Amino acid sequence: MLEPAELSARRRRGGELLRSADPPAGDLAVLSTFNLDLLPPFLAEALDRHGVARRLWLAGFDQLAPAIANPASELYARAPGDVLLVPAPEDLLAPLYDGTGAPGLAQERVAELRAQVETLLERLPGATIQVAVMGAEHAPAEHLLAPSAPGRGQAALAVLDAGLRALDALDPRVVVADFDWTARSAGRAALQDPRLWYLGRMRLNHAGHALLADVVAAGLAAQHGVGRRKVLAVDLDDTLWGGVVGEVGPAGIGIGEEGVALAFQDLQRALVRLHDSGVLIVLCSKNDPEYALAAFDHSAMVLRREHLVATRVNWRDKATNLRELADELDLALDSFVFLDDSPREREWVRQALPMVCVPELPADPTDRPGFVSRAPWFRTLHVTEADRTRGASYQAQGERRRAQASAGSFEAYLASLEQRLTIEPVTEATVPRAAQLCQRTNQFNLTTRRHTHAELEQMLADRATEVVTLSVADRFGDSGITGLAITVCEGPEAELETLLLSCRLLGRRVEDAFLAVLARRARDRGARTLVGRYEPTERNRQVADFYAERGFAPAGERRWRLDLEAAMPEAPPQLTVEEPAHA
Amino acid sequence: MRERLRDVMATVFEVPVSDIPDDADSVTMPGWDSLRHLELMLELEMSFGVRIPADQVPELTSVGAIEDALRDHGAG
Repeated sequence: MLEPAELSARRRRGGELLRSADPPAGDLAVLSTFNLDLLPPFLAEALDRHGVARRLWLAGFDQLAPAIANPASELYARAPGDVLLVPAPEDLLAPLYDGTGAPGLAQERVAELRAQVETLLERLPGATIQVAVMGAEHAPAEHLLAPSAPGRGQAALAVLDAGLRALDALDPRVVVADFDWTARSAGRAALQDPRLWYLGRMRLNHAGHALLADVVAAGLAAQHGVGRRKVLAVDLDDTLWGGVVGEVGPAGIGIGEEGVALAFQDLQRALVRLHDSGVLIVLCSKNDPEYALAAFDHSAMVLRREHLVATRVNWRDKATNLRELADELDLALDSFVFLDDSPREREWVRQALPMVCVPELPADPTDRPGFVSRAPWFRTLHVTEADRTRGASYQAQGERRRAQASAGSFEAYLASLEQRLTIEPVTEATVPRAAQLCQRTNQFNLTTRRHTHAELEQMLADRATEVVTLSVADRFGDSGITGLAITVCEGPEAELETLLLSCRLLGRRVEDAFLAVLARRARDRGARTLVGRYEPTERNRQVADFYAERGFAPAGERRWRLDLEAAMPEAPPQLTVEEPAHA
Repeated sequence: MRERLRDVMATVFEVPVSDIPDDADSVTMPGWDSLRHLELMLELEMSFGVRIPADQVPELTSVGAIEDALRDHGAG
């Protein structure tokens, strides 16, 4: 990177060249998708230094497409000998950053740019067309770590960049200026030391090794589901929007497309990206609820009511509200992250609820979108189907609670849910979700074996081992795959090596129906006894007596046995079970 | 300078400062192998705010040689 003194020298000299009474003859037209108004002095200086001085003309802000399309535009009137196109991936692929991009968007954008270059070649005979490959500063969803994850958007960015880099194949008059590659080299220079390479064959310096270590550790933690939180609780005033809604009114909040209001909107975009990958977004704010929620009708709001799983907007203290939110969602407080602009509120929650993650939200709102999208709290490798629907599923949970309140007897409530269980052997397609459940399920998990994707795939090939998944649908929605069992058969004995359920399913007797089916499947495979184990962790105390309460006889330490010839566990009659055969 | 140098060496070689004699060199000092040597050079650069050119790195294999080099590079 250049020193500040060199930068100002270049800028000063460029300014003098731009003001020169005797400008160079040829024109260079600059067309970009973003503001490049600070470029001309640097460009004039660099062109002069390289012996290719040109008179500069910048089409206005975001005039790239219209200037090329319109044959009567000022661009063509000037008939420049050289044209520079500077498209930013963030602009071309904006729908990806909004989470609405369709597959194939990058290919479409490349085709459009190719057509634009062809138009220029045709309408400006003899002119050189230079295309800058800018690269993106960040991917649409940095918390999805796998470069191949579609939601991350990195693959689409690569398609776009590769397409731009290949544009010089169109015509010898097309030149590609690879800013992205040069910027990457400049960044990497800080991560290596040529002396270490020549004297020790080391490709990285301390900073490089530290960065590699962080990337590796983040990937491994994501693979094993360690450290991923589930809920993001956000404050409203000056966090989700600028200003205090109680003072400026729902229509007057700072949210929009310009200035700092755009930074609040981008923060909301980051929250919606998190929501789309299964993070539960909840509100925790000191406000008048009616007034504050009315702000969600503001047309510039990107985070909408449908993204919210639960809200506590009132005048009580925030620690109490967070406790209630945890109860409502049936999730532990250590799966919460709390975002608030007020240092006082943050400190209060930190002291009252040390298990809640309370990050130091940057004081400047323009620093916050990047801060939130790069934060480690919700990192994962891929988004699973269950991640995508988790928000809706927790909203349905709330409706179920209300149904329970009105149904009277528990049996009547169970019947009213119309629960349908689907229990089927795991397949190649469902292994990723099965592995995710092994990694993330803490409370209703009898043995807490953290099987990985690769281990589960090995089990698929093992005839003695049966891995089955459970999904539950009811009249409020479909939970997707939320339970898993691994049964290992050895002669007349079958053992439940793994038995786990998402805690969302608890209290609906799903576990009893699941166990009944597992016992029957074991008997069908020739087992005469079914063995269950409980291996205690900090989080699974609630299932310590699971087998004892279901007629299993003690058989050693934390081990129980059920004689399948004497009695089979019964499924509650209100639940229906389907067991699709697999191909 | 000698004290700071011995502090840095003690950190890199993971031994008490008292185990770093004033005439320590790579032949007599246990653990002063080529990897530790590169680590030591990087630590010295950070600690003394100097840059040691590549051709000098292999030569700085004793307390005396390191001290001379640091002084030449203007370290305080």
